[in-house]
Amino acid sequence: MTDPRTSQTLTLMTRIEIVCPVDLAQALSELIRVTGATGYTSVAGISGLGHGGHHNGPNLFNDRNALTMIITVLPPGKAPSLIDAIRTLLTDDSGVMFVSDTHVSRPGYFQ
Amino acid sequence: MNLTPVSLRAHIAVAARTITPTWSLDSFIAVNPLSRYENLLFGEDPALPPGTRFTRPEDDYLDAHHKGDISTSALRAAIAEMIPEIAGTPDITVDGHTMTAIDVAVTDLLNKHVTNPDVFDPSENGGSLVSVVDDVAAHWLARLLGSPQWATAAGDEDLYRVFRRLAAHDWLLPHACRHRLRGLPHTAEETILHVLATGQITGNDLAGVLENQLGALSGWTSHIVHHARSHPQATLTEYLGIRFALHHALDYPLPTSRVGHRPDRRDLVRDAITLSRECFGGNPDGRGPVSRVLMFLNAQVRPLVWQKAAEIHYRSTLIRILDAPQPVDKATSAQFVFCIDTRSEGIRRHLESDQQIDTFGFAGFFATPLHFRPLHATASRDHYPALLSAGMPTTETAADELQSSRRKRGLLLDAAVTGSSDKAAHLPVAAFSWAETAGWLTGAAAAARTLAPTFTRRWGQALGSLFTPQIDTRIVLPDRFTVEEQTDLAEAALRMMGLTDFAPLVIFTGHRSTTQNNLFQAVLDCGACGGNGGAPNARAAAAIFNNPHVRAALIDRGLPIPATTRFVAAEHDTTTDSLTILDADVIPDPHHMALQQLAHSITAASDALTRERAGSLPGTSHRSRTHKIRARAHDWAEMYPELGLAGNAALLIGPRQISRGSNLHRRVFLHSYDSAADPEGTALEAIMTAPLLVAQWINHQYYFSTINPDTLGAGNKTLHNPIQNLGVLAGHGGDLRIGLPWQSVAAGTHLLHNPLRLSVLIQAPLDHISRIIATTDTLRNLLDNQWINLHARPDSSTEWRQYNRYGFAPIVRTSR
Repeated sequence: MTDPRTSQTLTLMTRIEIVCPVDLAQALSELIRVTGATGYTSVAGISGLGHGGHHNGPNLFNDRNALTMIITVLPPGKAPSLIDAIRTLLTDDSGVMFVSDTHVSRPGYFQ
Repeated sequence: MNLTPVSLRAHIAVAARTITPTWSLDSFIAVNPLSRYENLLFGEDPALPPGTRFTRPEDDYLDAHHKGDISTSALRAAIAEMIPEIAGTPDITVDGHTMTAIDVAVTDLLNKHVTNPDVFDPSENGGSLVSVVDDVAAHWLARLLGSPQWATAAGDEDLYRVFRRLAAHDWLLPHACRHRLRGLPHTAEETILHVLATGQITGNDLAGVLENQLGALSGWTSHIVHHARSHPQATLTEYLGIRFALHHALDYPLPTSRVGHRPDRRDLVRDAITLSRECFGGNPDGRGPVSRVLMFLNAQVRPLVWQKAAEIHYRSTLIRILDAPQPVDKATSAQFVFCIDTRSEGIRRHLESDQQIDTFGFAGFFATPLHFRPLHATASRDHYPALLSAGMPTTETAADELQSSRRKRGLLLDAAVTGSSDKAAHLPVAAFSWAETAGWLTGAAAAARTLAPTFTRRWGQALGSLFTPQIDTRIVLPDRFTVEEQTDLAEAALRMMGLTDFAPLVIFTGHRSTTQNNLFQAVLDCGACGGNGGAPNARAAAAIFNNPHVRAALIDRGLPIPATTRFVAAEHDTTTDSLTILDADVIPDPHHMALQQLAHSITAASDALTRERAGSLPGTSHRSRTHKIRARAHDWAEMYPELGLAGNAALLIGPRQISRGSNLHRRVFLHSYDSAADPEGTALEAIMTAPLLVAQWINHQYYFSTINPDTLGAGNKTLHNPIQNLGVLAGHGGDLRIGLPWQSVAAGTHLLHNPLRLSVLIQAPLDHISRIIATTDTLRNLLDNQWINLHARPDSSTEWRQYNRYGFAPIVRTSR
C-alpha cells in the first residue's frame, strides 16, 4: 500500500504482541528466533487488569515476578507457525496474544 | 496432530514449565527446586521426580515429638487448622467416655504407622533400558558442556549437531547404533519428529513422552535451562534431540506414561478397629465415629499435619521470645547495617552487648546492584539478587599507581604460572610428564596444607604479598548513574529499614565466607550479592551516602542526614567471625578515632560468636579454642567450615526493638522496618516482593535438600566431581546434582537443618500487608498454597494474627 501522507510504499507485515510472565520470555524469544523473525522488542514492567486479576507494575528490586510484553513483526507467510506455537505455549499459563496487520517502510529488516 | 519444528519447541517449553533452573557453581543461588509447583497447594500430588517427597517420614516426626520438639498442643493446633472437618466434628462418646475428634486424630497420629506413598519403580516404565540412554546422554553432556576442549570444538554448531557428528564415531556405542545415528536428520527438531513418527507417538502421548524425557536426567535438564539463557545453541530442544536420537539408535522405545507417586490407600476398617480399641476399649460402637475421623487422615495428609505441627511449635517458641524484648537505650555512637542473612543475627546480638551500638537488617546488596569488576580483573561478576536482571557496571581504581603496577605484574605472573601448570596437568600428552617433574613439589605443598593449614596459609600470604601486594583502591560508580538515581536508591534503603535517626557512624557490613577446596563456596557467600562477597556493595552504598549531592537531595525528600554522620563499609567473614573495616584510609580522623573506640566491642562480639558457634559445629564443643574453630577457614580437608544458613526458619520484618536482646539462635532473617517511616507502605511492598522472596528461596532450598538429599540435594560432598563450572556429579557419571550437599544440612545421620517452612512475621498495618498480597501473584501463590506461613500485627502492643486466604485470624497459643 502507499502511505497517503508521504506517498511512499509500505509493505504489509504481521505484528504479534504477547503479554506474559517474565519467565516465559526465554521460551518466546526462542520460538521467535526459530520461526525466522529477525527480531523483537521487549517492554518490561507491564501492569494491568486481566483474566487473572490485577497485575502490578515493576517492583523496585524484583524484575522477575512481573509481566513483560514482547512485540515482533514478520512476513505474513511466516506468522501462522509462530501463532500456533505461541498458542501452545500459553495453553496452561497466563498471557495474551494480539495479532494484527501492520505496514513497514523497510521490509528488508523483517525478512 | 501436525507438528512443525517451531510448534515442537512450544510443546517442549510447556513440558519444561515444571523445571526450576539451577545456577552454575560460581554463582550458586539458593532456589526452591519445586518453585514451578507454587501455584499448587503445598503437598498436593504433582508428578514429582521419582522418590521425591514434600515431608519427612512420619517416624522422624514421632521422634521429634518424643524429644519435645513438637508438642501435643502444637499437633492439636495443626489438626484444627488443616482439617476443619475434624475440628467441626462433635465430641465422640462411647460407654460414657468422651473424646473430641481432635483427640482421636492425635491418638491416631501418635500411634499409627501408615505406609508412606509408594515411590516410583523405574522398572515399571522400562527403567533398565532407559537408564542406558541416560548413561550415554549424561556421558556426552558432560563432555560437550563440561570440557573446554570439546566445547571449543562445538563452536557455533548447536549441541545436537555436534553430538550427531561426533557420536557417530564413538566406539563405546555398538556399530549398529553408530550407523543409525548417521542416518538421522541434521537438526534436533527433525530428529525428534522423525523418532516420534517412527514410534507412532500420537498427540495424546506427546506431553507424557516429553515430560518423561525431561525428567529422566532432571539435574542436567535444570542446568540446561539456566545455561541456555546465555547459550541459545544448547536449549532443551537440542538436548532432547540427543535423547531421541539415542532412543532410536539404541532401539529403545520411548516411555509414554508420566512418572509419579501412586496414592496410598489406608485400610479404614482395620485401622478404625485398632484406633477405637485404643480410644474406647473393646466397645465396637466407637468404630463408626472413629472411621469418620480417619477418613480425613489419609497417608498424604498425615505427614503434612506433622510438618505443620513442627512449624506451629517453632512459631510459638519464637513469639514467646518476641513477647519479652529487653529495654533498649538510644544508640549514640554507631549503627551497623547487616545483611538479613540468618548468620548476621549472631554477630548483631553480640555487638549490641555494647549499648552504644545499634544494628539494622537489610538485603545484603544494600540497594546497590553492581556488575563489578575488581581492579586488574578481566571479568565482571554480578553482585545483585537473582530477582534482578542487571547491575550497574562498577569497578575500582588504585589509590597509588606505582603499587598498582606492581600488583598487576604479580597478577600476570601468577596467571601465567597457574595457566601453564593447569594446561600441562590437563593435556593428555603432557599430564604424565608434568606429574613426574612437578609432582614432588605439589605433593609437598599438599602435605603442608594438610598437616599445618594455618601455617601454610600465613606462609602463602607472606609469599604472595611479595609479588602481589594488597593495595588501597577506590570504588568507581559509572558516570551515567545520576545523582537522582543514587538518591532514589538511598531513599528506598532508608525507608525500607526505617533508618531516619543517624549516629555519627553508619557501617554497611557485607558478608563473605572463607573456605578452601569447596565447590559450594558461593552458597556460603552473600545470596543477595549473587553468591559473591558483599564488600563491593557495602563500599558502593557508603560512597553513595557520603556523596554531598545525594545528601542534599535527601533533605528535599525529608530525610536529612547530619553532616557529622559518616557512612563506612565493612565486611563480616562468617567462617572466622572477623569484621573488617574497608576503605579505612579515606575515613576522616574524627570518625577514625570513633572506629578505634569500637574495635574492642567488635573483637569481643567476634570472639563471643565463635565460641557460641562452637557448640553447634560438628567436631567441636563449647570448650574448643577459638583459633581452632577459625582455622577451619583454611583447612582444605574441612567439610564443615561453617554451617551457612542451616536452621533458617523465620523472617522477621519490623523494628529491631522487638527482637533486640533475644537469642534467636541464628535461625531468623531479620529485616528492619518501621511503618512510621513508610506511611504509604511502598517500602514494605519492596521488602515483601524481594527480600521476602529471597528468604523463601533459601528456606525451600534447605528444606528440600534436607528432605530429598538424593533427588533435590547434591548428595555427599566427598563424592563430588565438578563438571567445569556447571555443577557436580556424584562419582564419575550419572545425573548432574542440584541443591545443597548433604554436609550443608546434616552431619552423618544427625540433621543440622530442621526443615521448617518459612514463618514470616511482619509488624506493619494489616491493610498494607493485605493490599500488597492482593496485587502480587507470587505472594498470593506462596501464601494461599501454604508454601510459607505469614503472621502480622500492626504494633508491638497487639497480638500476632495469622494470614489465611480470608484475612488475618487470631493465633492459637500452644503450650511448650
